[in-house]
Amino acid sequence: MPSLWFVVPAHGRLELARICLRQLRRTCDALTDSGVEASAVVVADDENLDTARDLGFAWVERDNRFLSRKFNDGIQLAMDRTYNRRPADYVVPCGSDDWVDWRLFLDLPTGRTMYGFQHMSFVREDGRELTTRHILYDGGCGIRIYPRMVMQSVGFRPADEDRRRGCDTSILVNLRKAGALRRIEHRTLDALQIVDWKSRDDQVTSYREIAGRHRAGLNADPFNALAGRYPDEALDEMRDHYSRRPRTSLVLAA
Amino acid sequence: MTHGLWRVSGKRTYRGHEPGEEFEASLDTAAAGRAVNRGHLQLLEEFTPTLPDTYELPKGWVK
Repeated sequence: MPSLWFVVPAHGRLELARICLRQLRRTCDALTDSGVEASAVVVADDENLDTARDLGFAWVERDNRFLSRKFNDGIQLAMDRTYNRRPADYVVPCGSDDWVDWRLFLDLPTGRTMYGFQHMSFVREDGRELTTRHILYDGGCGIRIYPRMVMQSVGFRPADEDRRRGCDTSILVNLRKAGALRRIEHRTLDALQIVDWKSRDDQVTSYREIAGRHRAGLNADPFNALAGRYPDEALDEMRDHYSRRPRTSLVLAA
Repeated sequence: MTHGLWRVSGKRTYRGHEPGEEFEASLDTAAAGRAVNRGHLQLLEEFTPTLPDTYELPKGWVK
C-alpha cells in the first residue's frame, strides 16, 4: 500500500486550524480505507501541536521565523529514513486552512513527476461567499503531490531555508535546478477539490486579492456549494466558527 | 551550496536580510564567496540543516 503524508506548517488561527486538521484526519482515514496509507505532520510552536497530537498526527516543534524551514522539517520527517523508519512514498505540502478532496490522491505520480492542480476555491474572510478560480500557474496552486524520489535528490529539504513566503516557488525552482523534477502534470476533479478558508488573522493573500487576480468561476454560498462534497460534521463546525466572527461589512465600517 | 549561519556585514540588504542581521541559509558557494569578498557577507558557522530535536511520528506509524 503506498503511503502519503500531508505536510502542514501552522501558526496561530487555532480554531480554524483545528477544524481543518480534523477534516484532514477524515481525509486520511478515507484514503487509508481506499488503499493509500495517509497521515500528516504539523509543524508549529504553539497549541496547534496539541491538536496534532490529539488527532494522532506527527508533529515537529519549530519557531515561525521562516515558513520554508517548516515545510522542509515536515518533508524530512515524512521521508528521511534517518528520522522515520517507514518513510512516506509521497508528500503533499498543505495549508493549515485548507480542505482537500481525498479522491485527488487515489491517482499518484511515478518517477520524477509531480502532480499539480489549477482549480480551487476560496472562502471569504467572513465565511459568507465562496469563489472558484482557474489559476494558470504551471506549478499549480494550493497543493502538489511529490514522490519520494524527487525529494531524495535534495536531501528532503527542498525549499530555501530562509523564506518567509513564496515557499511553493522555492521548492519548485530548487527541485528543477537539481534535476530532481522532470515533469509536472495537472489533475482536476473540479474547483471544489481544494478549498482555502480565509481568515483575517495572519492572511498572506486576501480573498479580495485572489478575486481580482485570477480567471473567475462560480460565486456561491460556501455551505451550499460544499454540501454533499465534504462531511456535514466538518461543514457544521466551520459554519459555527464563522458565525462567531464579525461580518466583513462591520469590519470594513470600523 | 554552502549551508550555515551568515551575517550581513555590508550596508545593503542581502536576500531580504537587513545589515547586521544573522540568518541561516543554503547559498550558492560561488555567489556567497563573491559577497564575502565584497565585504557584504560573513559566514559565521557552516553546518548541515536538519530537523530540530523535538518531533514525534504519527501514532502507531512505526510498529
